[in-house]
Amino acid sequence: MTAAETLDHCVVADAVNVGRVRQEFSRWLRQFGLSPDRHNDLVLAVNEALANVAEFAYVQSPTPGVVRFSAQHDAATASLTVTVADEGRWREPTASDIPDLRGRGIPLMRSLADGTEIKISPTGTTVRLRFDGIGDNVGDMAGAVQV
Amino acid sequence: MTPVRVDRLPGRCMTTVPVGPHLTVILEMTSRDAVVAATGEIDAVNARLFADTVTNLSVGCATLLLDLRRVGFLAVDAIAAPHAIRAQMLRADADWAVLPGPAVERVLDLCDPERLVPTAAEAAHRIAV
Repeated sequence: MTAAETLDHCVVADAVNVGRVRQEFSRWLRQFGLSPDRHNDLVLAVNEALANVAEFAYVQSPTPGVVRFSAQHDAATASLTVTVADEGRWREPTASDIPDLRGRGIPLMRSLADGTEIKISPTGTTVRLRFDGIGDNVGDMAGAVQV
Repeated sequence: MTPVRVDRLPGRCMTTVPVGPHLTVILEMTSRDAVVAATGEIDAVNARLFADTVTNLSVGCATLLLDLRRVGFLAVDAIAAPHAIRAQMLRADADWAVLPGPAVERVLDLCDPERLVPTAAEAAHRIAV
């Protein structure tokens, strides 16, 4: 697997780092030549997964923990898998959350991704998003990667 | 997207305000009308400051056109910003509308199905665009 096929980060889970990882992911994603709308949908879904960690995973901890981010492209299946993992506690949205907004996060990720898997354990939560049809039209673009 | 012409405001003054490292707003206003154009990204880091900046800049104006065509990313939780601006405009009895680009339009489609945030196409008969 080449460097261009993977992107990994491990950062403190706060809003500023969410923005940095999102921007890095968006730059890395350009190599696949997606339409602007599709590109934006992927970035939107990934930001939502990261933002959920920053906002909720460590709300019961005195200091925020880390969020591990990984994006892996599988050329054989033309699919992209993004994994966002934390070491905090899963928290269901409550009635006190912003109405019709925070509760939409997970359904929104499910609607934007082609596959969504959420694993909850006492030691953390892992969200895995799969996007299909990625990189099946880049052809000669491999030499023109811009990250 | 239908091309929208934004006329320069006669007798205007212009102000540029950075809203953190990734967002800038430019205010162009007369004594009555304001056009606020944003360039950059809006997310959990700057959404509240963005909403506060826009509402503070447009105090006293009868109309506000919020030009978001150069916003390349709007996070889902940042949709709270246009809703906060909407609340302030309602309190001030001011007319307003958003000019969305593709990124903003997508989030409005996903998160504002009731269309509480008016877009310029819907408000063209009220706001000079």
